[in-house]
Amino acid sequence: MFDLLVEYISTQRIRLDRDRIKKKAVYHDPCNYGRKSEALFGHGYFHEPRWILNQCLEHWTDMQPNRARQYCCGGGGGLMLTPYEEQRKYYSRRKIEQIKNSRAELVVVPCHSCHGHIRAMLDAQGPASIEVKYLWEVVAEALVMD
Amino acid sequence: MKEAARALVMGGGVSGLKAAMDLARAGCSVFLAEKQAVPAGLLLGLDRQFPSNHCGLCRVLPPDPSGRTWQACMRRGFGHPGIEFFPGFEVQDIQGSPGNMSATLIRQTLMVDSDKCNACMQCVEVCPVHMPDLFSTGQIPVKAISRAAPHRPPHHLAISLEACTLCGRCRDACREGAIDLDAAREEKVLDNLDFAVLASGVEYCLPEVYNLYQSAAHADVITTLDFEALLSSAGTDIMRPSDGRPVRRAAWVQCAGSRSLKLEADHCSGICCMISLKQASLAREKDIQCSIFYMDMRTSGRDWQKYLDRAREKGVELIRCRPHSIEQVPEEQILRIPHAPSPGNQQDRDFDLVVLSVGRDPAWKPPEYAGREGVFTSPGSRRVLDIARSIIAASATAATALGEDRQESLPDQEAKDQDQVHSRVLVVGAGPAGLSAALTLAAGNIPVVLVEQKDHLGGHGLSNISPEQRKEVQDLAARAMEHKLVQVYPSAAVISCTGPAGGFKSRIRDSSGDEKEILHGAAVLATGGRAAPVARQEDRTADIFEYSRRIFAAGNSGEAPESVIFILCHNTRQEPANYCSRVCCSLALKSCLQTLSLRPEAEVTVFYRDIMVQGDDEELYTRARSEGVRFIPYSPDAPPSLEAKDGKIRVKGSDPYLSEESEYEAEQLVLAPGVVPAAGSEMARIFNVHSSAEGFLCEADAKYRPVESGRAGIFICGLARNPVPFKEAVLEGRAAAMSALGLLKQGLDSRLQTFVRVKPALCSLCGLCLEACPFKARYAHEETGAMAVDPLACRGCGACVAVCPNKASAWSEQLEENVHELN
Amino acid sequence: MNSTEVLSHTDLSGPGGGGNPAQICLGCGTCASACPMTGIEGFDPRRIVRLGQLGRFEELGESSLAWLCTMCGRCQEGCPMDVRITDMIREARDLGGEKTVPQAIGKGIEMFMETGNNLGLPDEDFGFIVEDVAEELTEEPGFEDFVLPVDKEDARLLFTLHNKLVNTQNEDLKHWWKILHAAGESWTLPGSRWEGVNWGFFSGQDQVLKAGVDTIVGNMERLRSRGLMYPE
Repeated sequence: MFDLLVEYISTQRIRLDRDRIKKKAVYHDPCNYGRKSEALFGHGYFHEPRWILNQCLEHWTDMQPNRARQYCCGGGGGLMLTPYEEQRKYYSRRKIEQIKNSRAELVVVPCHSCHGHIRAMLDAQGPASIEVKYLWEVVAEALVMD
Repeated sequence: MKEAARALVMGGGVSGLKAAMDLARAGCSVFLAEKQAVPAGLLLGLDRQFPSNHCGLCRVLPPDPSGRTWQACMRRGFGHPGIEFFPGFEVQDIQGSPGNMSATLIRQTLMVDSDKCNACMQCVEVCPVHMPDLFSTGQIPVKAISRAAPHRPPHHLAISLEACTLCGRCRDACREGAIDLDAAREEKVLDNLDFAVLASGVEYCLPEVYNLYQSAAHADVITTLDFEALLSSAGTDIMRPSDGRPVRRAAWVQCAGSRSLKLEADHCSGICCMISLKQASLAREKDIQCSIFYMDMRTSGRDWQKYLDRAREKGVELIRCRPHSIEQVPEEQILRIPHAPSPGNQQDRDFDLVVLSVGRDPAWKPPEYAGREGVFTSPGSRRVLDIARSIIAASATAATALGEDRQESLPDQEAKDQDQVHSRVLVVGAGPAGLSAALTLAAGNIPVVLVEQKDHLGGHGLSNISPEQRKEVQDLAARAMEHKLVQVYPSAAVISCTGPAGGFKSRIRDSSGDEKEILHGAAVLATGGRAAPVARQEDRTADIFEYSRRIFAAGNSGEAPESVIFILCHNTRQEPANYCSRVCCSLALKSCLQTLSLRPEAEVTVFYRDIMVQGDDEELYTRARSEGVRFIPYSPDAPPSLEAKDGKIRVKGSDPYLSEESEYEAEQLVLAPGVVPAAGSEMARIFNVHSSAEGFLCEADAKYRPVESGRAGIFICGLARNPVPFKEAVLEGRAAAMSALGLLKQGLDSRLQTFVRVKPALCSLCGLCLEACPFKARYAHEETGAMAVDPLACRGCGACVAVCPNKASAWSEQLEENVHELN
Repeated sequence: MNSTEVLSHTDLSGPGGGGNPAQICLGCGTCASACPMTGIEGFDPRRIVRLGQLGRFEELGESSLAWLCTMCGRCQEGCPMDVRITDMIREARDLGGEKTVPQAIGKGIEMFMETGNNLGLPDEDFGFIVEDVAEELTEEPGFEDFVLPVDKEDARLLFTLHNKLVNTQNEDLKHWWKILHAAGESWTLPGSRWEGVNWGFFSGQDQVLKAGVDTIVGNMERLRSRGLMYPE
């Protein structure tokens, strides 16, 4: 998925406008694409999404910590589908703290599960005003159509 | 005997200095190469050392009444008439065979001519090469040309050739012509060397290289070496590297770069726990809140557990948890460490500064020539050792090198008992330490009287579980029995010792009650130790020594119990035996593995407080775990409780990871009560030396004169001095012998030079001087009762001169002028 | 059952080699420091590893410990002994048996095994939903000529879908479609068995995991797609 987007952008099969999204964004590394991919396949997708974001956005930042040491959104491993709601909130306090510390208004994620869970946790423990978008959603919004 | 041996010593740190001085005192011509501009190695950056919390490097210098040794701080420089010192040079290669070796030395550090330099610092200004400071691990950037050492005056500059590009800008900028870059390519070749001693130490782990705790990203995550630099330059407060704000909360993280299979670092550096405890203790004095994150607090020396207790009393907080990461709280300049101090409990703690406790670089290897014939490598150049063990190892390595070098020459039978100095040495105890001491002395042509209480030689070495080590002791015993210069008195004991160094008079009593008087110049006390007694409820209980002997006795055909429980630190590492015995953990791990190898389905459980393995013995612990030994930590406040029932042992203990109290049943219970000195207090009384509350004989200086007792001429080693494993007992024996040998050789040369003399006409025999002397150099003459000065023991401190009410104790004439000058 | 038997059907061999790899655990606490769940209801990765060491996998699977883990792998990333904690969790979830699998996941798996998607959505309804969203997309400027390539043969890329996009968040289907359209990609969406989410991964049931993979491979073979785009 990252490779495909990188291919489209670098070969100019799609063109992007960096000025459309004005909000300050923050990027979340999903466990599966990053840390776990690195452990299982020897390559973690850390660099690619950041490069893609650079093509789409003017202002974005990283969470602390990030990449292999990043915190999970709290919805992984099927936990999102369990009735352990309080526990998930406890778990996600780290993620919410990271998001707040970044002072971003928009969280960009390249994972359906993370997207759903971060949205739910922001709604549950605030600030609900922070938007959550897919990485490809950001790309789609920046698309320049002739 | 052939002429003086030519010896090369590599490394000018405390180990190299010690080896070089020992060899010089033994009559060798010594060449000492040190790659930095100044001696002292790592100690250049360590201002204060545990457990005294101050420096004492100068105490490693031999007492030299002739004044020929440069009796000054060795961090500033070093001079010795028997040693040719090559600062700034590193040995690149060694060729040839013992007796005819040649070494190539290349420049690593180029010194600026300090006679010409006027400290204008233009050279530093123009130097384009920035590099990490040699005296920290890079937090304080310096230039390729910079101060030779933090303690040197500003006109003592040096150029690190590892970093220098020889661009010439510094030379061009220097108006005094103090920089000669041509000397950068200078090489020295030393020929006709008889042997070489490698004592250059190990490289320390740089966290950036291994991306430990993302230290490169945080300016306030530093190493213990960096912290030493911060501490040295600190005033009232310790300042943070990032913003110069005073540090109020600091954390130490142990085992950075070690005890990890991921980093291929399955080792323990053995001293980092103590370094962190020291740093935190010192930081407490500046009212900093200090927390140490650790897994096992490895306080495995005689006095180290007490040091830990003192640190705790000072308010140092110990948190048993290895952190996963250090987080930067944005905009607040705070380092946050999430951690789980007990199972099921997670906390965040904020700090201004985090210190990574680093040890040996996992990738470090000794130089290729380390294993070559004629190159003797000090154990301190294979693993990290604390100062005392470095000094012992260096001395012992020098002794070994000297011994092997001399094997070819015939023993010098010339009588040494001339004048009042007797060259004979009395060695008490014939275990691994005593035997090693005796044979080292004999190899140096010193006659030895070896007194052993038992009817055979070898001591505990004979029951060692390792066949190789048993063989080593048997060989030592056989050699001692055969050696012409070693006179053995088995089944005998020393009952008294009087007189000064060089002229001791001791009485020996054998089993039949016969007594004999011997005259000797020095004594080595190696009376060993034994297992501390355990209260045995019944025969299914064994101490670790018995159990290991039993299970190793029949090799691979022995029998093992189906279940065994070990309880380590049983009634030890707490008052009244508040010290780690250092041998039990390794022995327990080996016994666990042997049990499993004899009976793979056996259930092996170990209750422990801290696993105290060091160096590569860490691998034993890793193997024991991976082979299924279950380790359960306990706290001394709640030790597991024991009960014997129906022929089985029941142990009640709680597994903190499961938070459940469980009852464990086993066929065999093994307790590790530690070791106690065998005859410490008695030896202390007979030889008039100090001993600890536990009965261990004490040194003059625990760091720098580890095998010398407070009384000149009396040396101590092995288990009698402190708990040591077999190999270290051997090293201590050799080191003690080396010191005795040096003292006697030097004593013969310079015995007429004294600092203090007694004017008998003025002396009222009040004896105040006897009490005042910290070196036990003052004594009453056996026959006349007159107050006398032992020239070998006297350091010229003047305590007796000051205390004497009659001015009968006085400085010797040649010293008087100097003393006034000093005043 | 002893621990070695339990572990024998999944390769969990750690760096120590042989035996139960959880045994090599140092008890150091790196995992517990790393895991945001540590501290609630006594949750602690060290507890999980200890139960694993003792071979008490079933007990682990039946306790809430196994299902409170997000399998994020942060513990494992830091573990100095390379203990594979998340693999142990999968193992335990499987051994805990079906009754311990949370209802939503159990239901989804059941549906998937029956219908090919976790929602149990009939192909007809799926076709209706995606065509409806495609229709909407053609109303946006620049995408007037967008045609949804359902079951197109010989495409370069086969696209699977996350069921939530078909279920409640239909709008989010459009982002990728826009990109693919703009790039002029040759791609296809399978008209049936389109599920990209594989809950066998969560439940520890290897047969479910395999069924999921088989579905995708089946589609690729059926439509002769050259590549797979699997955004889940």
